[in-house]
Amino acid sequence: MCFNLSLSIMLGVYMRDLISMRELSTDDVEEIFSLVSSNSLLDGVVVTAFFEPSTRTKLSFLSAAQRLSLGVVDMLPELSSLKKGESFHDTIKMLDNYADAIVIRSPLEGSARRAADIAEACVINGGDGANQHPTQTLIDLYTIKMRKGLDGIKVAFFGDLKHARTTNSLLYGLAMFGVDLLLISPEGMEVRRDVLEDVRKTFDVKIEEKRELDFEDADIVYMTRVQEERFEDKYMAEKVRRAFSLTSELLSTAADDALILHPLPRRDELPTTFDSTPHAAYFEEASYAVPVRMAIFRWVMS
Amino acid sequence: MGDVMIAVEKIKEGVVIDHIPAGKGISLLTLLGCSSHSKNVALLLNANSGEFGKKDILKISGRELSQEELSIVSLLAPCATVNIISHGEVVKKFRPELPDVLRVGSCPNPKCITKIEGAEEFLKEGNEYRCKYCERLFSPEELVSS
Ligand SMILES: [Zn+2]
Repeated sequence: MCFNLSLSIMLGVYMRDLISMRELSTDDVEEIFSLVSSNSLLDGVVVTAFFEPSTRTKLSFLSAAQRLSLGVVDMLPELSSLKKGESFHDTIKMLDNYADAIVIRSPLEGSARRAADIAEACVINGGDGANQHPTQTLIDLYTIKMRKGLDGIKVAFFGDLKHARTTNSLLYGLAMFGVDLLLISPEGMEVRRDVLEDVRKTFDVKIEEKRELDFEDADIVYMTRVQEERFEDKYMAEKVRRAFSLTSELLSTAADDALILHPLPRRDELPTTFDSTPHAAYFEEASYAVPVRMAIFRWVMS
Repeated sequence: MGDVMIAVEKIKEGVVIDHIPAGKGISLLTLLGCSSHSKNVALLLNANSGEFGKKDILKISGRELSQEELSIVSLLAPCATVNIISHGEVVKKFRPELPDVLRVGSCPNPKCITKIEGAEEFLKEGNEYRCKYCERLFSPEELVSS
């Protein structure tokens, strides 16, 4: 975003981008959460530019925008001019003419930051490759805040922590609130080293990594899907998926009132038998997708 | 027979990059684009050096180094010294420092947006650099060797 800041403040408009949890503060996050209960509507047009398929993220952004009475324009990926050889730069330049805010998802890491450099409109990162997914993180954090609060809790991550961008973002989000972290993943699926070191260096939090299936009385179990498409050896993928599926016995190692979160979609790593238990918080988590994304539009656009 | 000295003509105007770690001279020559330059260039490989054992030396006549080129020297050969020569005398001698913001080099992450967009920018963090776009951390060497 290159909007003239002094002019925009004079006009009472303050525009921002939401690119990465790395640059948000706890005050920013609290401010966004305070906007969830706001009734204010917004003026303007949102363009959704999804360069890879997504159903939930895109639909919830479109729904959030419409509930705020924003106009919406969706760039259909099959019609994307990138397919016709237009550069990323020129595509964003063009979309900028149509939009007050651009929601971008791309398999290429750093796409949202690059778009924000090019566009005057606010840019919201809807997921950039394996890097960041800040809006999902805000939904996860909001769910935890509503159900448990963020003070003095412990969160256990469980599954493929290497390829899930939700993990990278959420580690920053939880660490900034001083939440203790327990990371349980199969061999080769550990959290990226540079992310872990950056989180350790930036925040004063307790982080433990291990392979043993034991949640150590954690208050939250955050599950991710084992991404089979990332495995060359399909038999290995199947083996890991089975080993990293949730069972009642395993859940009993968490706190008695522990909650299960999962960014969905799930496969059989999270059996439906948990749905009717008081531990299941993933549908509630999904129900916050629209209200939190409405708050995000309010935060970046007004 | 005693040691044979290879004599390289002294330059009157230009730059001498000394103390390049042995073996890195050719890469530096290529990265600085000297080979395509019409200027007079001499590269000494495996010269004796008390300090390093062996070193490479690059002499470029009739040309200065830009800030960008100095960044390349500091990335590839952090111990190198740059001598600015004017009227046959060394008028300035310094070791180029790693800059806080780097706009040369290439992001080693094949899934980084800079792979299709260019516009590389790396921000210094301790002795490493973080890609402004994909947010991954790299050693200075990785940025010039990928
Ligand atoms: Zn990069």
